[in-house]
Amino acid sequence: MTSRRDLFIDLSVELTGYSRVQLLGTGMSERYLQALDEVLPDGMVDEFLATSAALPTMTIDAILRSETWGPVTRNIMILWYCGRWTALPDSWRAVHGTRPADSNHVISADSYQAGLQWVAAGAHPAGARQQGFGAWTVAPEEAAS
Amino acid sequence: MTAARLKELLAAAVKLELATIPPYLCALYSIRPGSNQQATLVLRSVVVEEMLHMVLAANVLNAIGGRPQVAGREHAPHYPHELPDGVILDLLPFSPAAIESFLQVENPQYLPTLTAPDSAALQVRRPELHTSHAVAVSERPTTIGAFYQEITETLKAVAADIGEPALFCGDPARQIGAEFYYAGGGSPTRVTDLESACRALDEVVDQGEGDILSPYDADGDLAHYFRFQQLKYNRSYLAADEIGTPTGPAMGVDFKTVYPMLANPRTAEYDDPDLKAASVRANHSWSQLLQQLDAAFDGRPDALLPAVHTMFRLRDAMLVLLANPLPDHHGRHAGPTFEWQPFTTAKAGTNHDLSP
Repeated sequence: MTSRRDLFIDLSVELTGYSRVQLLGTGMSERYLQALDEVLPDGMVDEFLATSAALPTMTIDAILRSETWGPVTRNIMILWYCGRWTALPDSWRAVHGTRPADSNHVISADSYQAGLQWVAAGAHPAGARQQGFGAWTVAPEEAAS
Repeated sequence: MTAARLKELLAAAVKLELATIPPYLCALYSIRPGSNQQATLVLRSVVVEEMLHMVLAANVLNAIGGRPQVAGREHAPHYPHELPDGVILDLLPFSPAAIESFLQVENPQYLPTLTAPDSAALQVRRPELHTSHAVAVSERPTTIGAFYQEITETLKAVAADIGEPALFCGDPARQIGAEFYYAGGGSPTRVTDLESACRALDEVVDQGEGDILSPYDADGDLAHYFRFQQLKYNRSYLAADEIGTPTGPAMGVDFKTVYPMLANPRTAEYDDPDLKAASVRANHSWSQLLQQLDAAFDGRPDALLPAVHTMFRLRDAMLVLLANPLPDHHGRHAGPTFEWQPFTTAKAGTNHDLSP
């Protein structure tokens, strides 16, 4: 049986465009799944993972257009790229309720550093994980190879 | 006692210092974010001082007209890696076994606890053992301490024999100074004569083993051996403590909050193509770093500036590998393999150049 984390990673591969290795390599997968559990009403995370496991018959486009899953899906993308949770829209809250953790916040100092935005840009999180003096003169690895 | 013999010994010393770095990096980066903060500081402080030691040994070798070499299959370190006195360097996660091995490296007189509790990872896998050049060039069995003693004695003997100007004939432009090596465990000594050569080598030995009767070096810092004792006993040293019995506050050592990296991993063992590619990328960065160090030691000290960037790229690649569990290895995680695999001759996803 596929574990919750595996379902979450499989979905996230589709949402981020990064491989399972790169996503696990952030070291944040358990923490992000926990963040979802804290924000969404009881049972909703598992329901969402079950829905997404129907991929690719249920397309990403269909998930994004869904009034229930669209906002959550967009938030998961932001979570991976920026390491932060964005409060769900009022229209969504009106239907599904509000949890205290559903506020704009950076998950942790580690999640800020682990954001895929830095990998995508060939850059580094400002104030952390420095690249060395003059690194800006070296083409990002992906561009160079 | 000849200058040629001296060059042979110093070339091996440069490689010896380099070879200690990857095992320390594995321990350092296997620590999960947010845990083991004191241990992280200890490991980081030691590993940057090993980088300084490598530069110091290279400066001495360059000062006598030698050519330090660290790039290429025959010069790059391979793991597991045997040092003088039978000390074996493995690539291990932060664990009791790793600390036992670090204690042994930093003081070869130390007898490891062979039954180190093994909570974090490893029956050690040693499919093949590679021998340090320091072992190969030694005429008799030796310890790391005795190896450096032989270098210092030979330096003095040859200087007395042929005169300092004749011995220290190297081009001063090949010396690595503080303008190119910074923020890494101290400032490198430019070596131009016997006095500066002895000062450079003293710093290598002092920061490492220290004086076994006085754990603090000339700067008042604990020598490496004693820093690792603090991790072994999970106690910090107080100024008044007896040697061997730290009694200060706990160091917060927790071997459970560590990625349990497979011991001495090989890229060929990674079945997942994405994982293999990540390992190859890490090896590209490692090999490029060695090429840049090689250039810096061969008259282009400014090659150290881009090498810093390569070093941080290697760190990021290591972190990705370490956070990835290996499905077929009982919960063990992947880790950096430190195999010689330069970008120019290797294509991502292949491992044709990984034969030992």
